[in-house]
Amino acid sequence: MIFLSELLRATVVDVRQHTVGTVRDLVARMGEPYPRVTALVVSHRGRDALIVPWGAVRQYTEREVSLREPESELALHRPAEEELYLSRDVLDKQLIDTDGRRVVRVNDLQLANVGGKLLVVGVDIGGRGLLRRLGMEEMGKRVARALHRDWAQKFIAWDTVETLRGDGRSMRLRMSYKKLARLHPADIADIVEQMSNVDRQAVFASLDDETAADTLEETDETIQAQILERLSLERAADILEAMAPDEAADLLADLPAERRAQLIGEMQAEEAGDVQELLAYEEDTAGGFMTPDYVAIPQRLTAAQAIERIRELEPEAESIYYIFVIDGQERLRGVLSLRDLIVASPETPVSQFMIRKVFSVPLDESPSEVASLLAKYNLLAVPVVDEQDRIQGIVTVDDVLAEVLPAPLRRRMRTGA
Amino acid sequence: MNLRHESGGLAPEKPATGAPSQAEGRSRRGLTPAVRWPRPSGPRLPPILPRRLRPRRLPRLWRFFAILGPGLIAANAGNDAGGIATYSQVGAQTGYGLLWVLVLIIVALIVVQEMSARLGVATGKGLMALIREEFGVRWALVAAGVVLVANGGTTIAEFAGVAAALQLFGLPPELSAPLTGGLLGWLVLRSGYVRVERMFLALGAVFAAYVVTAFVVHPNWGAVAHDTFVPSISSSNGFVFLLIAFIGTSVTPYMQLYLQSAVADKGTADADYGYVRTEVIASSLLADFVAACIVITCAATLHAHGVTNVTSAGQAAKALSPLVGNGAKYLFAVGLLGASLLAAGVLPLSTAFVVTEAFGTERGVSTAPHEAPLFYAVFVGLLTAGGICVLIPGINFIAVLLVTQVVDGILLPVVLVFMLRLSSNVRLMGRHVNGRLAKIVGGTTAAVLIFLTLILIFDSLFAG
Repeated sequence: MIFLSELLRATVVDVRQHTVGTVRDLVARMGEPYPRVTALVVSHRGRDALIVPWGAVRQYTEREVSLREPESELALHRPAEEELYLSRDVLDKQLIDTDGRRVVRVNDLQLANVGGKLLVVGVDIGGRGLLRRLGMEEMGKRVARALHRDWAQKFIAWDTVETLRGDGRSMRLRMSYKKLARLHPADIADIVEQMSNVDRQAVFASLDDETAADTLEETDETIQAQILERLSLERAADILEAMAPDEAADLLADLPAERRAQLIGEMQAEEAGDVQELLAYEEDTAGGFMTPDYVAIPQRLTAAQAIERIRELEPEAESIYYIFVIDGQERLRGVLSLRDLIVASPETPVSQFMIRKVFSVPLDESPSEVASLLAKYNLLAVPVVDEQDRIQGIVTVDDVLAEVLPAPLRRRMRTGA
Repeated sequence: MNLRHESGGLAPEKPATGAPSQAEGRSRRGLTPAVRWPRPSGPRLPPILPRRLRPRRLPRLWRFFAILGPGLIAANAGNDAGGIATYSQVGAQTGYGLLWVLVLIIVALIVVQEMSARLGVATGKGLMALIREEFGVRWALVAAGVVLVANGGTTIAEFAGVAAALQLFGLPPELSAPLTGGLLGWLVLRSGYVRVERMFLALGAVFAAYVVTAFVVHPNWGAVAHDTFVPSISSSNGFVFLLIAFIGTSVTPYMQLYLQSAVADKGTADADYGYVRTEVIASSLLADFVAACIVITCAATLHAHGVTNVTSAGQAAKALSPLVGNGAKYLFAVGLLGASLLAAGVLPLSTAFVVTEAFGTERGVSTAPHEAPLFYAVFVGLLTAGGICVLIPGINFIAVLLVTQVVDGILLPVVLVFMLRLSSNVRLMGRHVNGRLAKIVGGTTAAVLIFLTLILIFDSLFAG
């Protein structure tokens, strides 16, 4: 076990004990689960740096790295594009800790010799790493002992981290961010919010449309707009299509009119239509934050036919709990729960067991009114209707909650504390 | 025609359709979710209430303020308590004599602010984070030390400004200092700060009164023009001190840190950089125009009447009396209060952010103090330092304001050298890399300040 910072100070000598120079950097090839050190960058006053393959290293300590061959016979290593320079590209940079769901800064790297290979196994993110870099770790230890404190190292294992390459190279290399993409979108969003714009862009470029859409929905709205504005038109439209229409509409409403029109033009006709309808409503009304994802069935269907119809519609999960019943003029006639539908005998017409008196709100209802209605009657969603009592969308409890919660509580929920 | 009828329609009455029915409230308690997501990863369950709470939208007016350019805010941060005091002193002590320096300051400010914005656009990162990433832990420590001292000094200056302003209203510093510290700490940590921030910003705008006064007092425009373009230096006592304060308050390190972070956070697209640059240049010009008006006003009032040393806020306020007469004291106090409170609230928080950013420790007002010890130590430390310094018995607030600006001026070269090194790095900056003009002006500004600092040190050591 050795730290990168310790190797970086080491002197390099060849097999004849001639000093070649000092270790300036290590080159590593990314690999699963741990990157393998492939070469070391050795510099010597007044000369270009030599990149010596790790295979030429006979042994190493914190002070000295000795080579197997004389300096004149060294075969130099030529790093490939995807190889990383540990000091230049990783040390002091930010990494994603996918286990802790946060962005951390690398204070030091822990290296281990496994079967003759030098691997990067851990990332030091603690104060000890910082003091080690300053050459003051011993002093810190003594202070800790004097205070009778245990001074723990703070490491995270390399197999749970994801490197960020906010220098444009990540875009060219098409990094996959596999570990990150496996997280829940809400967690990805938390992490993305802590990143620089360049890194965000790289991450979003790598996510598939569905995950990107889910993540974008969870992201802070100022950042949402930034991300969307920098993606290509085509890709941004794909992500918007995969988003819930109400979220997509909210997001589009924050963009400049020109960009908004371009994006809607680029979207599939159906999704674009949904979004445009929603955009027409004032933001602070039921119409403004309702979603058109709801299930409505004609009142002439039987229970069995209704279930068949729902199967065909494949509704979004959040809208399936209430099934609205409409007449020939699309007017709201009743409501069913999924449970009602399943326990009813298959041949019964839905009009016989639906709840006829439905709570609904007009398009211009205020968020707080909708919230108190949902709270009072313990509803998960309420339909929004126009003047002719035709259903236009539903407002779900989560949408309205954000509008009415007091600020400190909202902040706590957002940070997951 | 029937206006009354139309306005009646605005009354909050519910349309008849869709009014909630009173019957049939079916409880859905069984569906109330308590979904815990499998961690760290696993199959994604169908969400019942899938979406996290969305942040509440800001009301329209605030959103308008939110898009107010970072360049404007950064440049105006130069006209804070320290700025007002320094410009007043420059006008009183030297008349129009230092206006030529302001011309050079304008050039330096534009170039330096433009460099900050460019760093923010090209890298998407704050200055301290970049220093850590490019120069390592040691230099990050140096930079953090510089930032702590410079911003600590500026915070003290803002507290002195608040105390001086409240003193004009008759409130003694023994009361106002702890009150200010406590209030600001509470506001920022409870995140109510953004509400009052706009109010402070508006209060600070009363300093536009100087622009009007500068014309009302009919200065000798011939002399103004002459001194603006013909440099003159003086060997008088305190000249170098004043010169450093003048530059230090106009091109404060804090302004650069703020602007770069703000531009990076906004995520300005490469293509939009032109707008940012225009805004930065226009804002710098505006800020220095206001500074020039303060100097001219004070020269034509205080200096012309033999007041060559501003020793109290009341004295500085007299410069506004040609415009508002006896109300000058209160107008000045209101402006000073707003400008000082604005900066005093922002400085400790943003300093805590940049320092923790460089060392990668936990940060943010939504963390608990035991989770983010460094963050809270810096934040509370700066507020306390500000409060305590003001309470030193017999301390002269104007002197505090001037000295802290000198500290800013002395430390500015360190920040400038970091900025120059970073923004000249092609790997980082790409096509936004420094041109020759930026290098020359930035380098000259740093060199001039270092030179002046050496003179100041030499002066105080040997000439004493």
